[in-house]
Amino acid sequence: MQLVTSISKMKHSDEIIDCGLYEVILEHRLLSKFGELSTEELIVIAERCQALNIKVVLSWDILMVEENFDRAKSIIESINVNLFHAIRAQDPGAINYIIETMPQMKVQLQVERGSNNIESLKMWEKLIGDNLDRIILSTEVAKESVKEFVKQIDIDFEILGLGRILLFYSPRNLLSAAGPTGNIDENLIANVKSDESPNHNMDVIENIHGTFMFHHKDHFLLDNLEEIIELGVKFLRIDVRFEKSNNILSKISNLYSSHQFASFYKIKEFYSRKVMKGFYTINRTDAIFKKLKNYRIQKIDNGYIGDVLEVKKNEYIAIHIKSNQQLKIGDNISILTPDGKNKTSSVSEIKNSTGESIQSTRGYKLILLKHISGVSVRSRAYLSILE
Amino acid sequence: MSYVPELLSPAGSLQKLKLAVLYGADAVYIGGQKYGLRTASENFTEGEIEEGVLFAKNNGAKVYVVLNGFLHDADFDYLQEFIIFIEKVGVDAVIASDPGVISLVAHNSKLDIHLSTQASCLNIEAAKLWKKAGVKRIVLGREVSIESAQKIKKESGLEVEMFVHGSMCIAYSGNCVISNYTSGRDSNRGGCAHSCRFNYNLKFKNHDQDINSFFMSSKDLSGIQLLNEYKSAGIDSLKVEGRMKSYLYVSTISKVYSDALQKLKVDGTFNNNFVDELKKVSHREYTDANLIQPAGNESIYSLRENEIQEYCLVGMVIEIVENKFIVLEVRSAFDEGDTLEILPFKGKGDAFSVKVDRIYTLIGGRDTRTRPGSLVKIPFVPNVEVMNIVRKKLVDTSCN
Repeated sequence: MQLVTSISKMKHSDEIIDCGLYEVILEHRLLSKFGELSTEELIVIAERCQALNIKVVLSWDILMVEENFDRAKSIIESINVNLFHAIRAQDPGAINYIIETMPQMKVQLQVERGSNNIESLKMWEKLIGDNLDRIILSTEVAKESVKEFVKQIDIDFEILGLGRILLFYSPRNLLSAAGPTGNIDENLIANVKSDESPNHNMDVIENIHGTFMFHHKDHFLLDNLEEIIELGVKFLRIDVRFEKSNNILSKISNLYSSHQFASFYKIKEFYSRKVMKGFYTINRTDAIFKKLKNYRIQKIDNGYIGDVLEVKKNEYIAIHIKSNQQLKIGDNISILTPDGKNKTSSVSEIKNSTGESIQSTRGYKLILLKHISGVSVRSRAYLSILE
Repeated sequence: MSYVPELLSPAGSLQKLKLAVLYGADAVYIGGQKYGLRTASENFTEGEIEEGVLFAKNNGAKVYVVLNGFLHDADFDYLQEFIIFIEKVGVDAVIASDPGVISLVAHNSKLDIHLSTQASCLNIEAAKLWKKAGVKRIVLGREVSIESAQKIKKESGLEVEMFVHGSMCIAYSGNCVISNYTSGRDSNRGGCAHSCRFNYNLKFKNHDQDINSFFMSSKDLSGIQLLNEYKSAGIDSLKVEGRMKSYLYVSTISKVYSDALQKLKVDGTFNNNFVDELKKVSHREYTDANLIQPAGNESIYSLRENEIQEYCLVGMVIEIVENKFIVLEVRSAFDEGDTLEILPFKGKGDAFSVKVDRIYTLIGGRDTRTRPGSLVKIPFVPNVEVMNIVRKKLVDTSCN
């Protein structure tokens, strides 16, 4: 497994290059979400890395409406792309542009969010074809899924080993709308919290590409490195672009190159922010869905007659028939209530809305049956096949 | 007669599908019990999908099924069978964003594939890539202007669909996972906790400011004033957001946009009455967002979630006995003597007022005030139809 990292500012370039990582990702201010490099700076760093046999990747990870896409294309066209081993992109438009105009250029697909399944990854493999160099997986993918991906798909994968978790990406200028007006050359930064959210102290950055929110804890998998290597992951990204502590990247690089895996937990001591493993161990973000609505009144197709719209205690229940199922005197019915009860009864009398007794009914009528204890409004009525 | 774009309305349940179609939608989008982004919505059983498709076809409307979650491998269980089922019952297209789902649909059916806005397709090159994946229509990201949409359509050769009305994600769709990390609910599989609508305290770095703000909340989109621009740009379909929204919303929005598009088709123009009608459903302040220019500061909804509401849903007509009575399912209380408004279906004229001088219980007793969750009879009124929506102008700010 190789370590990779990003260079977003010229002033950090020497220190990062000196760490001697396998690959660096260069971030241009008009192509990359958090890039601050000018074209000239980008070229200088790329040439220097090339001379040191460090692979260089160009980051083009912004999302673009047509006008911004045109601007990005003009930047790409002004750069000698032969300096780069690959271009890293999230926008499918950028990917298509690379495939169509630079057939020799490798693509590193940054899925960011989504593509958390094998079918999806296979589809990307098919769409990008021989240009596909690597897929950078979402932080939502748990290790068991990564293991399956590696087993079933012949693509190199990269995951985030250390760095901030991007929660939100908007093209709108949300901080300057709320507070101080930002200078276009200055990123606006705010720390936000909400009493309505369990998580506080989330950092928000506004720059020329829009507004970005980060989790208050960073992603940290460095104490799982041996396991990650065993999973078959080929590349681990160490993203210290926003880290204040000195020499973190150098410490990580040294520990890694000397295989001191047991010592990686110490990195936390030097790291300035709180960390967590995110969804690496398990992702159960769909577990709560069954609580989002009352499945007791979820309609079952088989035998469904209609819904109870009114109940008059000791007098009647009014059912709006909503199927073509015939209901007649003598039928047994089940009524499933919102609180989970199943009330059964034999139909002894049916009245229509004018109060006349009828023998049977079918389809989109309102009927009144004798009151059934325990039945409430919003209950569902079925012919008694549920018993 | 000239072309106008298709009107595509949301249908969170079978009842809403019927309302949307009767009030003028050319097509509706619905969700099954899985695979979509509205887990808390009632959604459709397979029997309801079958019935909904039949109802829509009989009324000249199309049905699209959303499969637009970003799925994990376990979510694929039964998806193939579901795709085969919806094709068999006559669904017209699926709306998908996950490349894996798109692949599965393409390999197991001849269903048209519409790329969901969740995939944030924003430019010509992206549309071209999705075309290679087998997509027939792109539901463009909400960041795309009408002018750009026209170019995307022309250069990609794909159908394009744009949002015309409703709530908006303020993030690039599919690029917000606040819910995942703060509430344990996957926003891209239907669990969005709407964290963007919260009130936040912001401490600015390098600025002496510490403010409270709903800084991530967007105003609602309304493109009614731009129908001619959509038409001139050749946009194929106009989408209304809101599978979780009320009967009143689905009915009113479908009728307003349908009638306005029809007027545009026949007369080449329409008047501001349609704009006024949109104020009769609850909404945040309206914005045209990115439709003409990139959304600016004025597109932020800086207030607590307290939607503006001029009218409320009194109920729906359940049954009519000619010359005798109308049965209403009551959703908001009203009193004897109140004036209610009946909203006729598409093409059957404007809303008209009815003064309710008597209220009867279902078994004939007199009542002076109704209560939500009950059925009442009011005297027969001509030109009212079963499933008509009944609304009431609010004298204060809330329905009771």
